[in-house]
Amino acid sequence: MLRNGPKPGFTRRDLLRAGLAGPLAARAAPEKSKVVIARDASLRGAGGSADSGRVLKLLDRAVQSFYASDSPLDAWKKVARPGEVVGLKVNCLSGRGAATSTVLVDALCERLQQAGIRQQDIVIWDRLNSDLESAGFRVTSRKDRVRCVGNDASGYDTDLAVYGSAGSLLSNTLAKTCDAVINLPVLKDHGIVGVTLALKNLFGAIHNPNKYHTNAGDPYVADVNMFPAIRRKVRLTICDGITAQYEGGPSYMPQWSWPYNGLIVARDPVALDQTGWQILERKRAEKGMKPLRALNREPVYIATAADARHRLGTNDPNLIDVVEV
Amino acid sequence: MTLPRLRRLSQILSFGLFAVLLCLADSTARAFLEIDPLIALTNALTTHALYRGLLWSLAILIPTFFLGRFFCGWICPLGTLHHLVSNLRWESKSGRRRIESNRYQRWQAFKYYLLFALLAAALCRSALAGIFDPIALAVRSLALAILPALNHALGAPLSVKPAHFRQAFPLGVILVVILALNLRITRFWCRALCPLGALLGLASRWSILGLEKHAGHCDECNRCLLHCQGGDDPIPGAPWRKAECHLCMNCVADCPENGIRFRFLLRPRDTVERADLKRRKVLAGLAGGAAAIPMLRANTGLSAEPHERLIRPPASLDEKQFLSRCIRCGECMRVCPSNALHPAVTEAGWEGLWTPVVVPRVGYCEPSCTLCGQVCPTGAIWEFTSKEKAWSEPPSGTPDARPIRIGTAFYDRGRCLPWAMATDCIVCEEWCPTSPKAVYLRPAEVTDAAGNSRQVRQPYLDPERCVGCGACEYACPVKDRPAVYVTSVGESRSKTNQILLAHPARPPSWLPESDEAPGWKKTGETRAFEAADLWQYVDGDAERYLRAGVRRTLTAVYRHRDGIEAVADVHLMASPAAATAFFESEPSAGSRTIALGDEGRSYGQSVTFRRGPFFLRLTAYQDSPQTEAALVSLGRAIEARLTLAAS
Repeated sequence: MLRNGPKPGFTRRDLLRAGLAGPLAARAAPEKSKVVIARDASLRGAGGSADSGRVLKLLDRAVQSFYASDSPLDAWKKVARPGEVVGLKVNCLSGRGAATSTVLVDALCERLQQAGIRQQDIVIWDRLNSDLESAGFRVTSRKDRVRCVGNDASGYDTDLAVYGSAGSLLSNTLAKTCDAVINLPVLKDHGIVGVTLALKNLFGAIHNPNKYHTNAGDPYVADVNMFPAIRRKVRLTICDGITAQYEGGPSYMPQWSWPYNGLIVARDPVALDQTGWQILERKRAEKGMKPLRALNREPVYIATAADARHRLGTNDPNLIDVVEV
Repeated sequence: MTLPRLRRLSQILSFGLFAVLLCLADSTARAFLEIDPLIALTNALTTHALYRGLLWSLAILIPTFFLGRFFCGWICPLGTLHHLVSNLRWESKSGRRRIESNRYQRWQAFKYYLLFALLAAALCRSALAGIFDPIALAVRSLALAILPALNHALGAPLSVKPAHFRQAFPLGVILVVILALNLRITRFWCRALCPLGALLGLASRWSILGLEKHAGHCDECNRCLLHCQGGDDPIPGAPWRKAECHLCMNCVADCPENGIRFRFLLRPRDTVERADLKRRKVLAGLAGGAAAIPMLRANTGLSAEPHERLIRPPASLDEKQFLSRCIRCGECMRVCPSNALHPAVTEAGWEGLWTPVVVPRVGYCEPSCTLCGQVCPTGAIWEFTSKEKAWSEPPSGTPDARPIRIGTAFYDRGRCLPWAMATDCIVCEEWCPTSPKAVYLRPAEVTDAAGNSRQVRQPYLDPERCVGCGACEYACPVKDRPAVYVTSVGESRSKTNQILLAHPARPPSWLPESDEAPGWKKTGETRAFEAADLWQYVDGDAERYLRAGVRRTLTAVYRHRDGIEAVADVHLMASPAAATAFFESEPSAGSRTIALGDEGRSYGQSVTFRRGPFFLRLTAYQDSPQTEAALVSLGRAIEARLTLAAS
């Protein structure tokens, strides 16, 4: 017998439709990875070195844009909470010329402290004390100030971290000291793995990075970034592009460096690497150099990091929301 | 408490202590060996000195002069085992036969002749006495054969990885056989073979503790012989043989008439005080021992042909000294945490039978471990510290201090996966414990079976850094015959068993000091990197240099009076051709040719040039109109240094 009465406001069919619509909609429109590129043509002072005030403003602009915050402090509060120990993983391998800028790190420390992180809870770290010193950082382990320590001094965890083809000991600074890590790579070329940006910079957290350079770092770079401590603790990547290098890396080669005067900020390391790689490729093309693929050093590890096994982020340009500010 | 019960309690406690020490892995483990007078006497004869704790043996020897062989009956752990088995009922040793067997027999004197032979061997600087010494024998047999066998039988409850030893079976069989002989003749070993018993028997000649027999009380029941351990004739009517008595006190307890008792007597009656020795046989024993050593040495071992696998534990003495001290007790093998030490079979010749050798395929020498040196009772393995061993940290002390080395590793390239099968494998390099690593990898283009060209890293070994620990051989994935193996050459203890390599010189002075180049001050020490650890300087970039054949890199930082800071890198390549190839491999776009070295380029803020086998890079951190000229002047100073070094 047919029902002749009025239809209820929300039918069973409506319910099914609503239940399916959400996941399908999400599947149809996956979330994009945001990458913010902040540049300042007037970043440098008269001597050619970066002006600390302008670097601070550039950093604020980049982070505010990334977190869509009204103030830089609100943005930093989203990165770490007071009481947490925050590690700043700089890149100092190549000495001062191609290392993370001390001006940028100073600005970062200032903002973190203003956001409530105590200065003794900030640790600047990389592989070796000598690398840090050659990049212009002052090594200190005093507990009443911002610490700066190499893995050679802090030592390595005794538990082996293993994923895929990679098996390494993680630095104590990453594994034990820090609750959160801000990754601070440099925008530069790499003679073996193509580019060294967010993913590759974490080679500085392990005891045996020299093992993982064959096959253009694939899949080792992605595998190292799968170590649980790295995945869990790295909360943000700020790629230092104040001075960038498009050839001859990772060593400092001033003849192939140029003042990019920018910072690249992202939480998705794959998206950041994909974006940074394209910046370097464009510069190479501009200088009449062959693309990295032609030199057998295309950074294929970026695609590996994005594959179904790793899912460290996305390398699909359509899924990367590049915001230039 | 009766004396036999007291003696039994002493035996139980003593054996319990021995068993506990058998489970310890520190210097206390050697306590029983240190109180052994035979080991002390042998050590004194072979080395003309006494090694540390061996003076404790006087604690046994001096009372023996007053009391006789109390050690054999009351303390000796092997004697206790013999005693235990001797008490088992057995058909061949029952009733009258048992009593007969406990009478003194002439063959009991054999142990004295064996003792003389071993002492003569000791005078010839050989510690063969350790083979027959009861404490060494007990430790060796129990620790290397019986306990591992029990561990295997019980499913390894004592360890994660059950230890196993070469020679475990014969060592176990020897113990079982000498124990089984007790089923025929009570304490056969102690009566006929034990050289320590013989030594204590000789010392007991002056003992004032004597056996007093009252013949009038005796009804010739022979019960005093029933449980006699030493075969020393406690029965009335026959003289008591002091040198054979173990002071077990069974005769006193067994006599129903109380006709036997021990008393302190200055002039005991019915007693043979001396051991039953024949002069000719003593001389024969001495001659036999003295003759045996040259005959053993005529075999391989100490001759000019050292066995390639005669890899001794770290801090072992030179082979001659080693054999004069090592008593084959097996303590070092027992405590070795990686089961690396095993009794030698033929590696050290016949004279070195059962002395310790490292068998890397079974286990490798742990870098920080010093246990073998701690437990060695005679100093064959000198007590050493992990700092002296210096395997995982640079040796401290004098600038010439070098780590203790036990051998050198070599590659069998026909079996090594990257060399022979175009397959990546870095296991040996991963396991190499030295710092910097002795095993290093170099990238190489190889062709696989399908004809495809691929890059692998092939292992090389720096013999200057290799300590011979055997970790590479142990871990080599080529399971049967490893692709990397250790031989004894290069061992620290030998002056002759060496590869003729010049010691590495101090870092060459290729980089100028302050003011050698006009206006330049050197602001730091020169840092030197060998090819193997260049990655420590520039990880990632190092491969490019390695592929080009870099041998060594020196770097230093300079500051110019104009405020320019610069880094100077000097790379020594394999040849001038390699330096040229590397120089030409760098893009020249944006550069201009400069007159520096054999060929030079300036990029403004950096300068590269080559000279002979050297490739040089000078990089400034500041770009100014003076930078290029300043870099060129620094380059010229370095070039002058290289010219000087070449001349």
